[in-house]
Amino acid sequence: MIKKVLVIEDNTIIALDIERRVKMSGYDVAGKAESGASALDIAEKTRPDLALVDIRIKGPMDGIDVAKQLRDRFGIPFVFITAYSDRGVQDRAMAIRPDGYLLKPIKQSDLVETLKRILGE
Amino acid sequence: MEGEEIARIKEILKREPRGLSIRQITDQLDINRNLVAKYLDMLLVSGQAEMRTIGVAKMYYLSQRVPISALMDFSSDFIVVLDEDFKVIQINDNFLRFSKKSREKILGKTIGRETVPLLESAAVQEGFSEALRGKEVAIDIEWPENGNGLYFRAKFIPTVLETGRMGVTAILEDTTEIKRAEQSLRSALAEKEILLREINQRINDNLQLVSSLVHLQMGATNDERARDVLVETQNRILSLAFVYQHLGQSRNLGESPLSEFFKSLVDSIFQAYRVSEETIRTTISVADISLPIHNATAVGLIVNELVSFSIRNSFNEGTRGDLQIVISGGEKSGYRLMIRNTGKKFPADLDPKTSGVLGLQIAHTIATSELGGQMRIMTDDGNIFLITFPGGAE
Repeated sequence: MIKKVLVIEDNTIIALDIERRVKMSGYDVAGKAESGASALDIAEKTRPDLALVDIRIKGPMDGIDVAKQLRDRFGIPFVFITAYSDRGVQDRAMAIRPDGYLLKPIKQSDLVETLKRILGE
Repeated sequence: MEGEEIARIKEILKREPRGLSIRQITDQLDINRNLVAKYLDMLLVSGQAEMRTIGVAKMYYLSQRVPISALMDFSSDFIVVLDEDFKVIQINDNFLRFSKKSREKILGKTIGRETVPLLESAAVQEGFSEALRGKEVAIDIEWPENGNGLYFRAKFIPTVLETGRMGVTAILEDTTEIKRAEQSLRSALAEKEILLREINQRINDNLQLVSSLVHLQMGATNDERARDVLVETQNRILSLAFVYQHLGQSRNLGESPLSEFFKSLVDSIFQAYRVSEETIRTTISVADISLPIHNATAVGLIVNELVSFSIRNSFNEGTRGDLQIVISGGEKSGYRLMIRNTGKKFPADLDPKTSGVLGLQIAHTIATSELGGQMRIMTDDGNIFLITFPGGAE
């Protein structure tokens, strides 16, 4: 069975690109969410195998809050995809022990390597 | 008689502030030289006169005495002298104004039992105790005043009092304005850091958006040549992002090792072109130099273009060889960037201005227009790109 990835990204063009990249890598996309509420709703319905989470998203929750809930409520592993390179945000994100951390702009090779490491071939 | 003669000597010395020798004094008095010498000794011992030796001559002056209390009152600092029982024995006017108490209310009072602003601070009392043990101490003190903190730099100096007993002189300098200026500077710096992080975040977000658009276009293109161009563009965007991510975190590349930056950049280019380190053996040699961020960014972009060009043209079809990157020079002598490879030879007439190769045109434009330097290509000993540019180029 093809593993499913939830894409949490508030920019629709970037979300579309990540969706294509995930599918190119041989996985399915469970859904795309622009906000924390929508991400949790999709996660509850589709139970993805992994979430790719942008830290800055729409709504009152940021990606770090959402990622924590995805793991606590549904046991879903997550990888942060972020343009934040500053130490403070990195430290806060690392404190909740993500399964991966990718810097924007994403390199296809880094994304594929991360997906394979967490989801398998 | 003796008193009168001493008074006359003092009168003569008073008229001549540049000093007089014993002979010059004797000439003005009808007493003998030995007696003058004896009276001068008496004046020296009692501290009323001073003597300095100029060459072989001994010159005598009246002592220049200013009361210590007058000096203390002239000072803009707060000065207080305590004896070893923590009793205030001297305090200057400035301190009295600050304490809003009269001299009589403070003099003779024991610190710790009496409420005197600043002196009742535990840190100040600790400073007094340390100084009484013979140690000179300097500490910074914050004092709450009308809801605002006042700041002082306090020095506690062990002092021998007139009685021969130990005491302490405390000098408190009001540093409130300096401290507030520092705080305001720190706050402005913090705001600048936040702004800088926000700008970096937006640069990377926008580069991701452009990268996504190019990547989506790649997926919609069947033409092989067009795809290659889009891949090249994609690599250029990723390298640009790499340079900004690495350099954006340090204002001056002198703060982070240049060689590490270029090594990571070359690794990133190798990764994009799927080149292994076994195929192209790379050595990076960077002198102990510091490049302004603008120059470092430009050099990073040039390295990206020329290393990418070398991979595409000298190391294609499985060719193996060496790649060497050397950066040397300095702010005064100017900088020199050399990228040399031992792969397939470039055409001898390769000219960045006329070749029509976009990567070479970009590197040449950055080298000449942004760095104010020159770019040359040589092919007699491997393929060599040589870029020279002046220090501090804008």
